[in-house]
Amino acid sequence: MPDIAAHDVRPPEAAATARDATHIPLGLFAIAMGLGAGYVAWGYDLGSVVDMGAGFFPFAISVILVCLGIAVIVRGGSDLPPEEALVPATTPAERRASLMHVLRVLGATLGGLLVFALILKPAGMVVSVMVLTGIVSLAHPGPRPGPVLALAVGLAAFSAIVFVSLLRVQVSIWPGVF
Amino acid sequence: MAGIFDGISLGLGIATMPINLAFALLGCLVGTLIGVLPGLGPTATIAILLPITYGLPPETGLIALAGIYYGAQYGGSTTSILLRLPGESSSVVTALDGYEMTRKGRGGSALAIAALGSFFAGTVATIFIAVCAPVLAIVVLKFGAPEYFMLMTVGLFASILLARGSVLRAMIMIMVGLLLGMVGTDVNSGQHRYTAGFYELMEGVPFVPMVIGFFGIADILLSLERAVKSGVAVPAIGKISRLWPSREEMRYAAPASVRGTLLGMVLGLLPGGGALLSSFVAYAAEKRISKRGHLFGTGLPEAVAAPESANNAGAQTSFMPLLTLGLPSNAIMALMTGAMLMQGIVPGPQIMTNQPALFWGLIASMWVGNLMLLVINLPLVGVWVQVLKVKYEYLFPAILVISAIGVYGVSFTTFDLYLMVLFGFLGYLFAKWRCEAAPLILAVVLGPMMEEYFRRSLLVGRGDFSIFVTRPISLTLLAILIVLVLAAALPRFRRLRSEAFVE
Repeated sequence: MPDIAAHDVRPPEAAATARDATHIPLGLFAIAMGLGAGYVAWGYDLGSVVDMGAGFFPFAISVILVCLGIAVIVRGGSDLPPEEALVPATTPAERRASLMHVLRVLGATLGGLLVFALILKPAGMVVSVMVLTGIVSLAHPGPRPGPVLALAVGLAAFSAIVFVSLLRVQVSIWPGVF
Repeated sequence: MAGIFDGISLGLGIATMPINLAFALLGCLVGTLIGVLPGLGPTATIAILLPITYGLPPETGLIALAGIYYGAQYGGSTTSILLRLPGESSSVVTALDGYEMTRKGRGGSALAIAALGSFFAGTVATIFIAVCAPVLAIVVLKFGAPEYFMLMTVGLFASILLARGSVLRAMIMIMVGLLLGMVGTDVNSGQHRYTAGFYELMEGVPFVPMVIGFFGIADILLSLERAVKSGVAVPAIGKISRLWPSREEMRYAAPASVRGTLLGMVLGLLPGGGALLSSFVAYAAEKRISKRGHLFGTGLPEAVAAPESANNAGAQTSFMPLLTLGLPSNAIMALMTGAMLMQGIVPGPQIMTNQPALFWGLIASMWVGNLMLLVINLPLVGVWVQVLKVKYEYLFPAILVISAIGVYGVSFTTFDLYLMVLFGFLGYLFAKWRCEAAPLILAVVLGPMMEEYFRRSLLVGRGDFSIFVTRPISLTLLAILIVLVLAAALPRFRRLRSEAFVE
């Protein structure tokens, strides 16, 4: 069992680790969200303590959120359990590769879902599901075009039969007015 | 006492209605199927399948969801034992000794011990709920607004103390969740809050896109990111021995199962407890009291029996705070609350009196579900193992398609799909920032209720905060809250807390 009592114990592989820095984006997010929500809540009726208005509770929470955001930045990562506070160190090249990879995963997955949302009503279930399957498959380097096409056809057929015909999801199966 | 027997017989009547049996079975099967797949835990599974229960009658829908929950638990332990691939986090400790048993050729026995232990735990925990829930519900009926507000605050805070990770970050998640819970029309003034003019947000942030985003989509993004980096390959499947454990194994497993059950039942009641905490603590406790504790990790039957019994007992009893107090104690119970609210049922002590069929039907179906899992799981082990051969690269598009159509299918608007994408991205960011989504979703569910009770308390107290101190139950809850806050600050407790999840 690792000695987690001592705060600043460096593991043997200290050379290859860096301190976790996620407190900064998280803290900034919390502060920004708190300020934004607090500003909007200020515009609602705050009311009094006896008879609270619509803005009272959200405003109070926003203030707490801003404080917590500041706190998490000030703590500088020391709020994390010791075994999580250290992360493997990376070189700039590794960071770039990992960023490209993350962008590919996020772009393909979320992009595919956004396209699906855009075309679902005009293009109908079959086309939309096939497009969704095709785009999100790009998020993973493994799939080959053949199986992806087969999967897309299978999922489109399944969705059309089970969701549209049986479960009565309100969307057309084919593009246009069929 | 008579009321309880009436209740149980009513419940068994409901649970054994063909439609409910069918959906309990379906839930168990689908839950196991998805629980077997690594990367999708019970929370994500329930979130993704939530829309499908939408059109069902309330009892049937909740019974199906409960079946999915237990099924996912069972499925997770199967892959832990056979492949050392815990499908979900509460079976991580099962993998330690379970997989070693498989390597020694005792895999079948480990599966049977896990299944029998879970069934035993499920039975005991169900009886416990049936006996205790009505009593608790009566006590709770005396609660007024200040008590409810304090109870929910204690519940939220305790839930982050008993979960892993940074308390500070969990509190940020709670505040973000409370704000998300504020979106929509304020019940008192009619003011539209944070709707940005979208009529789709007038009744609050739609629940299904939110939970599928935070749990389903975010989970898939994280798995995709990992999957390629490490290039995980499914390891070879160990030979499965005959299923029945030897007398020697039973001698060690049976008492461990009883201890695990008791521990799990208690821990499941705690906010933030449930299956995960139960299994970790049961394993650690068993290791400490065992005469052969130094051999743990080499394939001991009691090291499988204890956590598996505990996680199932905990999974069951975590329903109790929801059914009696209306207080969801973990993310899965928050999803159950969401499912109930969508059906127009407000969870809380009044369920038992106003909707006895729902209350007792759900309790009885817990036991029926456990029995079903025992019957379907062992013979179907071969099938579940085959499922693992499906490559993730072809699996995740299917999950995304089902999630997307499920989200659209709730109210047939593509607005919900955009929301799902937004929350999926946010959930991914939060996970990267080492924040868990569970406290957030609890806060979303509890937020509007907490605001209402807070307002009402101060209205009754004429703006005087002493109302939280002068009422004895509220004062007790406040004292508990203070103890919790102090405990969180103590280094000794912090160490204990992180030890509970190390192994």
